[in-house]
Amino acid sequence: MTLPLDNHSASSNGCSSPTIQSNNPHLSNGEGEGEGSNGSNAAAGGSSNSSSSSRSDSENASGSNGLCRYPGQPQQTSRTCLRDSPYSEEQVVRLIMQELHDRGFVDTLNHLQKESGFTLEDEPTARFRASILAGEWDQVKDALLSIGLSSEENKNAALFAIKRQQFLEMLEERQLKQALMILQNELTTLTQDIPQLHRLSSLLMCPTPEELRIAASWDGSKGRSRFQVLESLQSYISPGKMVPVHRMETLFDQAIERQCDVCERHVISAGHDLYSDHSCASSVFPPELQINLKGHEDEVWYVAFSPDGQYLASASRDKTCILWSTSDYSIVHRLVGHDGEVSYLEWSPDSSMIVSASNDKTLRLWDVATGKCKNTYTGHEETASSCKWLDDERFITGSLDQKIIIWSTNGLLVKQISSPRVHDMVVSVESSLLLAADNNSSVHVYDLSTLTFLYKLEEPTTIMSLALSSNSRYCLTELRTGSLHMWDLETRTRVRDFSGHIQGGYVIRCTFAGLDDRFVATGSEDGTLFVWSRSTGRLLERLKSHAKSINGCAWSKQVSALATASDDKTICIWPAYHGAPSDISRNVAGQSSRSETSLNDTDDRSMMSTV
Amino acid sequence: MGYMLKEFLSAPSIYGCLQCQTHLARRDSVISRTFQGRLGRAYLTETVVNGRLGELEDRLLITGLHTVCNLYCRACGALIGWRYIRAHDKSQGYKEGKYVLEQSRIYAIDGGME
Repeated sequence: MTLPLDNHSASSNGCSSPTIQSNNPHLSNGEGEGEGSNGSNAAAGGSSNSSSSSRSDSENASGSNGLCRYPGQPQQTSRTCLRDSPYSEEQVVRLIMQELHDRGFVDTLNHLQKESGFTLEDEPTARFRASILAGEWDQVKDALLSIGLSSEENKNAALFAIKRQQFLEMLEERQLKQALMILQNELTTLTQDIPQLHRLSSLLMCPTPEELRIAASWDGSKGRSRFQVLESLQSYISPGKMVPVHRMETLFDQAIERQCDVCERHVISAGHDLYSDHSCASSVFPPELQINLKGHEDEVWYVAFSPDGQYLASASRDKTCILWSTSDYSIVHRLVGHDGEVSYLEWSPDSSMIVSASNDKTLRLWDVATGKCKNTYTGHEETASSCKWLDDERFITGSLDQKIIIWSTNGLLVKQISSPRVHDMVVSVESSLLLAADNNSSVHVYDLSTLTFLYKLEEPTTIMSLALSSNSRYCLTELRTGSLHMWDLETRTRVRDFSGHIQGGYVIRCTFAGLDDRFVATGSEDGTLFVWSRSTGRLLERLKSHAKSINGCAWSKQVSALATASDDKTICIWPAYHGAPSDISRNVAGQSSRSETSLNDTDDRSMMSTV
Repeated sequence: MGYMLKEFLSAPSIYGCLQCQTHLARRDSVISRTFQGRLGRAYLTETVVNGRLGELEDRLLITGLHTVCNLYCRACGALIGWRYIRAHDKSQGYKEGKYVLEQSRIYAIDGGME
């Protein structure tokens, strides 16, 4: 029911009142020798009459037909409109008026009303708004009817909302008898929603106003509830009469959101700059490696940042894990104790503990502050291939031994179920889902709380690893054949593929990265980090990180960086840019023609990225 | 070389590593059981999983000079046989690419069906 602002036909709106049309000769004079099209584009557009008939529903016609004229003032002014605009002059001016009104520019508002001949709100609407905000319930109903609504049911819905507010306010003032009368005589006739009526009548039982407010999720007559009622009534009243609150700002928000949506390399928040379109840098990551961490004595198989962003943990074939500080990347602790290569580790949600899985078929729980091992867990007959925390006290592991086990931090086995041979697992506590990739090319999806099987996603070849987006909606599968598939878990369909990297049968981890999981990243066996745009599937970056194959990669929102773990015993850190695009050349020392060269490198005409 | 997930075979009968029970080959992929290994009888097989190859070396076997690589169990490192890379004698060419598993290093696992 809202008027779309960019709809040309809306601009003509059936308001062919003589006063408006008299503007036309004025406007075309301002344009010079206008062709017919100039005149028709004029905001008060008389000539798109054919489209005006499409907007002939009476509500809209009455809504803007002359009711917002400034009283007693002739339409003619001596102003020249500098340019044509497809947007209705009335709408633009009234939005400006709303902004002026909200910001307190009263004089300017009055002057603008005189000069343009429009008003922000006509008399009945202003009265209606005032009576709601003042709580003068007797006048509200009349004011509403004088505005006029489009249909009977809208009227009932609007009256219901108003009467509900009145009912709640009376309950708040302990006028129980009047409240009951409103409920019986008025509320019941205005709606068919019986459960809603039951809920309202149960509110009569609330002994105190505080309890009433909590029970009804209502913040009281002194709070914002009256504004909220007004906003909810917006949908029943033509927006032409009562412009939706902060409408201009809503439009700004939509525009910025759209700019962010099309920003492929979205790493930094858009901010609120209205002067220029938002766009992130042409290149997200610095073209050359900045930070390389040495410390392991053998291949590094896994990396993960802590949830609070303070540490990076790495697991290695040298049977140890290392905790690095993310502020200066010094080594904080070495976690020593496993008898076999450490293939996996996972941070607890509160960043205080780490669970590591090793080829010695055990798991170890480490305390981050001291670097000491708190518990060792035996029970799996094969290496645990994945471990995820359910909360700060329990974690779940999957393994090739066909068991999924839930353990607790005090050393006990909590629950065990039989499962397929699990290659990798991801867990979403919010959506209560467990996804386990088996050794037969499918992903089994379970309900996390009951561990009951829900459905399967089928892939064509062996799945090497899984990743889950932070909103738990998208899942990535990394396949043996060297491509990544992205699944939408709501529709259970495969929505995008990413490829170009080299997969040779070893486990390579993949991850989402960037603001709103804008990117998809994975390592490659040639030591290059591949970064694609999640929304378009285009390959954005190929960052040469390592001399040998990359096994693991991880992204941290707090640190705003990607980390990669490699067979060359080192870890690379790739920070994503924080500053505005113009800061790029200053951010990276000595990279003068950086943006051009990296654009050429990543402009992947020869790349095999798929959509 | 990175982290590799252990493979599991699903077949009625499987040969596994004697030391660590890791699956190595399906019983029905064995071509010949009359081979001679260094430690006694050996089987010639088409494919092997969970194996790791050693260095190339030329070895003089009963049937002639061959270029072979030692075969190790990837999980526990036990030496379980070798793989023929090249046969210098044309008549032995059929062995190229195939594996030999020492019978004393493997054992039969029943029913690895999934």
